[in-house]
Amino acid sequence: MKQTLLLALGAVALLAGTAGADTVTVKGSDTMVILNQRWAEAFMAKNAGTTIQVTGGGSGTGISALINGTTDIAASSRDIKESEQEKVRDRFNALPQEIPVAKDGVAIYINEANPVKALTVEQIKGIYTGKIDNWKAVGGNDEKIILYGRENNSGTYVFVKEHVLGGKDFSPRTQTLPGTGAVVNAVSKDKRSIGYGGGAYAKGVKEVAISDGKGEALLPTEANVGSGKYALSRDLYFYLRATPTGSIKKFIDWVLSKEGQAIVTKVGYYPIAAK
Amino acid sequence: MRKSPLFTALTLLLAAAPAWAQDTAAPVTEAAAPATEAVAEAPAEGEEDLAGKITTVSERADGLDERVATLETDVKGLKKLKISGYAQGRFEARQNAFNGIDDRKEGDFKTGSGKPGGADAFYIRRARVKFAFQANDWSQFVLQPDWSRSGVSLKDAYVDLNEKWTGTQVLRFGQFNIPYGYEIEQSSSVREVPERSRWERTVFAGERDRGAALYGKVSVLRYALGVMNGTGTEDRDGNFRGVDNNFAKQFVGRAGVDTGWLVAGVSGSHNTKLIPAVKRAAAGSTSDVNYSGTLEPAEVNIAADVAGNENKQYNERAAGVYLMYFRDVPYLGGFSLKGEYNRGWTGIFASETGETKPGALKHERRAKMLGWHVLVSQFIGDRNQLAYRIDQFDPDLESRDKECHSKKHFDTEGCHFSRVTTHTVAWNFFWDGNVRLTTALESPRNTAWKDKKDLLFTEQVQYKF
Repeated sequence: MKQTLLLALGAVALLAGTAGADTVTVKGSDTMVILNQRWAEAFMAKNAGTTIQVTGGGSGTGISALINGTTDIAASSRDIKESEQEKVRDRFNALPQEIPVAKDGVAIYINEANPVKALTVEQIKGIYTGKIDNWKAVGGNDEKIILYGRENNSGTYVFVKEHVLGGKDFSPRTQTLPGTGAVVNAVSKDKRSIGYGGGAYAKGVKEVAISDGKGEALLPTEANVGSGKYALSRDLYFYLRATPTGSIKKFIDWVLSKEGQAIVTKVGYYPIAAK
Repeated sequence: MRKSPLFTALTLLLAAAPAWAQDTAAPVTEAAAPATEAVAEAPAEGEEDLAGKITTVSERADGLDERVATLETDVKGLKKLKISGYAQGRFEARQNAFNGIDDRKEGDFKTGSGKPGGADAFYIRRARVKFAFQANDWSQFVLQPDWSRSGVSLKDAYVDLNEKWTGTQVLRFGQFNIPYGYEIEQSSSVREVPERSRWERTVFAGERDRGAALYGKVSVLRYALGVMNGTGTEDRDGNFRGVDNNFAKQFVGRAGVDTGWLVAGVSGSHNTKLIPAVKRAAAGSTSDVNYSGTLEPAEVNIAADVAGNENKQYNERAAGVYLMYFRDVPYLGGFSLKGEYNRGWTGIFASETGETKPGALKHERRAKMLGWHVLVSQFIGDRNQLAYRIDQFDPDLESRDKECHSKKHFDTEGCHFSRVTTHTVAWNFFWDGNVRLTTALESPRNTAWKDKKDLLFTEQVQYKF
């Protein structure tokens, strides 16, 4: 019995690894992937001993990686769900730490040739649930509306579903694409199309001013997003499974500094109050 | 589906070609018409080739459109099905199989008929695959079979109906975990030590039953109320087995709070069972209940007279409190303190053997049960977790021989049931995001028994996906 015990303990001890090299992994939101890459490049330029690895895959993918311990930081463009918090708690005996790192306004993109200038949230809901399928119903040309959206592991998808559609399902006519860049590309090529995504990707398309039905229609500018007046304002987050320490803390402190937040503006998002 | 750039370019070229030809031809007068016609004929052949090719490409693109649309529909459907699961392979070594408590018998303290001395074995403790299909936000179907050394069994098969207006209530129907305490519903894949506490393994053997339950939350408040058959899904041996009383059901539930870092509440269960027709050992059977290696007169069973007790109803009740506390310790990792304290009342108590007076087995009395445990665990970094649990279970606080608990040896009256206190230490090492290695040592103590050499060593490898 004693010999068996000692042999088994020895085998497990041999298998138990020590902490790896100074590498911080950031995984998740495709909305944030360009921002994360810019941060990583700038941080590593000043901290040669630390490697920041950035991958996308969607907010849901990032949070799943946080739960199973394969990423240090989950980048997310949506709030973490209660069920996901419980899974982190079950796995690590601790609740996930939520750190807002930037602000964004989810933009509704249409083709530059589309005459529509403003939409209400209710109209956008009607469009994406399929109740409104012709541009003339919202002040545009007599043409069928072509819908583009994101896959369901995307935080932007979840945000739009919760805050615009009120939890209802997207129309089955919605063509799902893997990233905001792909959505923008598709919308830029078809004047009948509509898409949504992070505000930093608006190139070759135009953003629609949005109203909540009560106030004036607003574009996702820094003033409107920062003040929360823009109807689809949101925070972009880093989620961690514990209080950050070591290189992870150093990286996050830098992200929240004036230097890190300056990069937010360059990429096209809006800064959180800098430390 | 977007058209390819090549197709767009070819289309534009085709559209532009007649206009180009017309522009070229526009200034020409009638006299020059034959020349225009003659000029138009030569490019017409080339245009036909080009038009033909563009038509072919267009048709192929349309075909691809249809195939992609079909694939997208299929993929969307498949994405609604989520498959997860885990498998646990174990090596167990028991210090003394003959005198030991058989932990795999849900804590009813029967031992196997093994010879004195240690025993060890490799086996598959659990191998489960969970299929969850969610077509929309309003309903979900879950199916979970299990493959283990006892065979293939069905663990979960239920439908969840999510309430649409507030999104705070879920009605579950089918076979699922009994909503009592916290330990039953904690997945075996995340549990800090290899097995649940003896209370849970005995009173709620199998952890599951068939019925319906309502789960709800209001702010930090959580509750669950269930109506179930009341016999679980496991075929339990010994005195805790019951027969489903079709005229009565088990009512079980819990209510508490979940603030994230603190989970606490109360649980309760009321069940009405029937005494099985045959539950005593047959006349002339023997059992070396004091593990002496020889049969003594008291260990030869007397024929049971249960005619008066067959199908007699009795109540089985349980009530308890539960608590889970979580805290992140900076530079170390997550800490948790968990525990339950339960009291129970069951309508029958009988030893299988040891009754020396004829007809004495007719005597039934209520047995008061006690079961509690405290478990602490600490992460060291993200990959190492240390855990300790103390677990106490007493199936009969007022045993027939009241001195049984204090006696250090077995007596001829048969002190079959007494308090068992089990200490478990465990080390969990997370190899990667899917694999966890568990090394555990369990030491049960039963003061009624002579030999306390019951150490159980477990080495488990778990793969979870």
